[in-house]
Amino acid sequence: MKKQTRWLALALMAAMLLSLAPMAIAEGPSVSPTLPADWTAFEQRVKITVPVYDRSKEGYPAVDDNYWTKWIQSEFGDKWNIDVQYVAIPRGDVMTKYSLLIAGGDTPTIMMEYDYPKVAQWANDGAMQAIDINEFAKVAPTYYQAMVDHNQLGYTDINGETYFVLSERPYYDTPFTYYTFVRMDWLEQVGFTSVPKSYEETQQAINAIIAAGLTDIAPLPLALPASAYVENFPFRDIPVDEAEWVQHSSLGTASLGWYPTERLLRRRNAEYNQGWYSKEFDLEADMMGAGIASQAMTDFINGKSYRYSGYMSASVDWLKAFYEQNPDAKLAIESDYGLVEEGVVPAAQVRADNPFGMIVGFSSLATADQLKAAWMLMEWMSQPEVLFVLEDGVEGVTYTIGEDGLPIVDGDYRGPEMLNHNMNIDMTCLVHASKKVGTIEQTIAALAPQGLPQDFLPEMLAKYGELKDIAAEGNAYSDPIFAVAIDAEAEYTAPLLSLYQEYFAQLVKCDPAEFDALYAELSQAYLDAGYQEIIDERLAAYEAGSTTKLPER
Amino acid sequence: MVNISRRADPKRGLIRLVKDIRRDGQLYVLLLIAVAFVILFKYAAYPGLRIAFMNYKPARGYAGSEWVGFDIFAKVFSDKDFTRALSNSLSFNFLDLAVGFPIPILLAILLNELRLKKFKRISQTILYLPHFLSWVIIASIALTLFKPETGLVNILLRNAGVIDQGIPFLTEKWHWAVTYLLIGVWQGMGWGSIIYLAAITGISAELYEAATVDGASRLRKIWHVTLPGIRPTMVTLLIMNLGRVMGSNFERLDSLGNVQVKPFQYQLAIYIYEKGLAGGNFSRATAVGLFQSLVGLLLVLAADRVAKKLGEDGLI
Amino acid sequence: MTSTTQISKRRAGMADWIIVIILTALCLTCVLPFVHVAAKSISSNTAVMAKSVALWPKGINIDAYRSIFRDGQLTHAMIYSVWMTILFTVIGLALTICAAYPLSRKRLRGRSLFALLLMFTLYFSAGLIPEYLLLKQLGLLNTMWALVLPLAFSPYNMLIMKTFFQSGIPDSLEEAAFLDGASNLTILTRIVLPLSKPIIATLCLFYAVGRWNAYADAKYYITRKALQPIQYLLSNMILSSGSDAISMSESAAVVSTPEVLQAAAIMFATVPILVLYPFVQKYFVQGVMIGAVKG
Repeated sequence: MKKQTRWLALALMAAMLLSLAPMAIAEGPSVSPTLPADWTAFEQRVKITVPVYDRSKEGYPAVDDNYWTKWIQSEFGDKWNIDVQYVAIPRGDVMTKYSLLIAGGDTPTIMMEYDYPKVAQWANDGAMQAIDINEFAKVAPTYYQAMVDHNQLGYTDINGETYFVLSERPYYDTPFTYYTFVRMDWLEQVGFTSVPKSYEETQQAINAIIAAGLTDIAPLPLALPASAYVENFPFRDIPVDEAEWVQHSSLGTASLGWYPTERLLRRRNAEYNQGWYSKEFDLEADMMGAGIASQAMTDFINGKSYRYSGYMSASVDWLKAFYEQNPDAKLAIESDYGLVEEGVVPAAQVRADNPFGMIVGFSSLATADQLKAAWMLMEWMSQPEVLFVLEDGVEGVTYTIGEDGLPIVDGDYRGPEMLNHNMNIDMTCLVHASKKVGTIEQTIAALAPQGLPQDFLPEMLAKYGELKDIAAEGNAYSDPIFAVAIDAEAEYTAPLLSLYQEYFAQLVKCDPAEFDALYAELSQAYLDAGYQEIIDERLAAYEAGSTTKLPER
Repeated sequence: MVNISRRADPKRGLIRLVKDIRRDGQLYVLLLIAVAFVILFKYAAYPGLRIAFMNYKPARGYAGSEWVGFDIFAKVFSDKDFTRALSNSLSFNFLDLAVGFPIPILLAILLNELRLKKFKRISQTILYLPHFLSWVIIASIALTLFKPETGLVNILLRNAGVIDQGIPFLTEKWHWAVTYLLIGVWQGMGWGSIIYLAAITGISAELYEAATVDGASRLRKIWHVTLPGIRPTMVTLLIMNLGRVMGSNFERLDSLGNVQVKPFQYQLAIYIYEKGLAGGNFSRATAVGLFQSLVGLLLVLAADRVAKKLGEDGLI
Repeated sequence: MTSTTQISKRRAGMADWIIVIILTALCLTCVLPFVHVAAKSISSNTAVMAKSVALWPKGINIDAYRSIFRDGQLTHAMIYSVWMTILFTVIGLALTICAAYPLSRKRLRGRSLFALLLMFTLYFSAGLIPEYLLLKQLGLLNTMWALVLPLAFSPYNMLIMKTFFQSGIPDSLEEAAFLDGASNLTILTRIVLPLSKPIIATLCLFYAVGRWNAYADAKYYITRKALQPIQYLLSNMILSSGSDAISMSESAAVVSTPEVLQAAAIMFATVPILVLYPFVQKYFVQGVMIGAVKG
């Protein structure tokens, strides 16, 4: 018995040692980008730490130690005597991880986030240092020029000092990665030849589908809002009042109490009472967050519901599963005009993304050398040649060149050179928010789901055309950005979200006759729970001129 | 007697003390290893509790954050959400204790009485499986089973004609309370019984023998031998668990809850998360945690004293 | 040997059958969720997304397991976790014995004070930031020791063991050994510990399972991926992968791990710790048998 245990322990130790043995040193493609002539290697080795999101996806190598981190070290770090270390930040708990790193004096040299209020908080609390943007422009001219080209210099300041540089978000005002699919075969059965282009048509279609008994459950999916984002853009007046926009248009807090939200909820309530939505919709808020197929997705896959939406990529598992279960079904992409109704939704309007990707700042503990080294990394990574290798990998291994001369990345490749999540996006996000492949049409083509009975590329391009029209009419705009930290947001965001979920369910499910009274009561309670403080603070910032303005129409 | 003589002759008492300590020298060395460990890894962090009295910002550290005295406590105690969370926590955790405490004991006794050896082994192993399922998984299964309209249980009952309308296991707060408690018991019963099974093995076989000679029935043997045999363990666990009536498992609440039962679901663990950690407000999270600890500790000490009055060994 | 023969001679009565029925019902409720997860892990992704897999797999394939065993990170984390859990259990158990035995001796001077000192930490924790800063000062952050040392002494387990020593080991036995000139240590190692196998086995299980299932500390104390235990990877895979809130701020697909893979990963991370129990059980059955025979 004892002998056995000892052997087991020995075997385990051996296995441990083997698995810890260093991987073969990476020998990636060699790059020689054009860099500023005045760069010189540091005399003493400079260590910088760079955050990288850890998404813990099955099948991917460790985000902080893999072929590509080694490649960056050998191609960039070793040349300039810089030690580039990646710090894994769990994607589900970014703020706590950062707080701990900051508290322990381990603040990464580069700090970045997609949400402006978060970086604003860091700058405000002293975790970041103010930078001289002219110095930055000298060390990283390409990066700086991109910021100038994309009109981003207005977002670099907090409390009157420069803290941030910003990465690019290509095509930010036409969010072309997210698509809603509907059952075209059902529409045809109730007499439609195309997807509804107004709310009147939408209502006719859905009610006809219910009447025809095409499904035995509620035809439309609805879930509790998992984030504070309220899809109330279409419900806003044109033009929207700028002060109101500053107060209410936000990803961080739901705008209960603002008229577009009221219109949205009133419509949901009416729809619910016509039987469009499941009576149990409010039981599932976060199941998608748990990675477990939501009831809505399951219903769609099983051919029981009219609509489902999501981000597109070459391989979309729910679309694949849908066609496996419903080989004869036909889908179409929904139009933003299907919501338009006079007096409620004046025109198709969409939320444009922020005009930037990552907001990048620098640790208050970083030395002048570290700061410079971090800027050099950003400049080096901005070079198209470097980006190409980081996003496509090694020719013949991770990608091949297609007929159009563009690289086709092999998403199933699992060797050591495999690219991490979404083509190394969590490294290249330092430079831009998504990979650019040639023209926008080619970019969209790269997103079109493959291997399905239907080819959606023409419809996706048509949808992009629609988005471009909406943007051209001035009906696609972003949320406001604040040049001061809004303290009340940090304090109330989490409790307000949970309150909004509760009220959302009550307002959608109530008797239409009681909607007005209930809405008045709940929106007041919501204001009292902290929302009033937030909007007051936002308004004060607006009046002090510390916010962005609505784009000229 | 001993006490009196000691008081009468302090010198002799001192000599005895030195003698006692010398006799148990080895024991003190062992004890000090554990104490040193606890001081190094637990007590050394206690000075950090001062952030409950500061407006703590990670970037400014302990030194740079400003002192605010009892402001945070004042704010917390005047928050009606806190009072709501507190009363929910207390009621639910007492219920949890009331239901969850006896079941593992019953289960251990049942398992112990079982004479089919193989069945006993297998069932023991199976009963502790739920301990290894995360709450997210349990919740997704619970949803499939207990939804009011489309849950399997309600469909079965409706088809059997037992009910006309689905039972709102998860959507009506009183029903939910029962579901929540029972799922908790179910998840923990097998795991909880292990400790009693271990304790039962410590009962001397002679006691059972003597009981058999007296012609005691099985039930009487359980009552007069098994239960008294595991009583010290029961008392220890009961006292220890009393200290936990303030805290609840965030994952369990979060996964099993939904907006319709928020009046009951809203407990301290949720409060700490929503109003503390999620907003980066470590001071408030620490302050509420400190309050929880204090109440828990007081409860344990009180229970310990009561137990000793009743002639039990107690914890201390 | 005698015990088993004696028992099989005895006929199972009415009471036994009632117990069997109750336990069977309970066991079913416990095992079915596991069967459900296991069935999902060897089904096709389509069937799982369509929620058509209940207890029997559909579209049987073992691709998910193949993928997991090929995943360098998961297999590495598995070996690492086993190793860490063993180390943790050994240290934890040693510390628990160190504290529990002296405290179980009523004659020990200052016993209450020491007991209070040790137990206090069960209810009082300093909280996330202070404990993190302490580990930082001790230089343990981003080492395996950050996951081993802070939790290694469990006052809960210590009290359980102390109770067992107090009630399970007769004082007379110890006194006799004392009179024979045995030292405290000799009594502990030669008499007390051999008599305490069931509780030692139980606490081994408690320590091992506790460490195996915990992942919150890894989330905060460990930044290097190579030092993260398997349950942490698993929890990340299940909890944080596809949140809508994240997608909104990123405005990009945040693809979650397919449910089939999640199910396979759950089985992969759970089975190693499940097999521990039968070993522990051996000690219970022995003791109980003795009682049952004579009863």
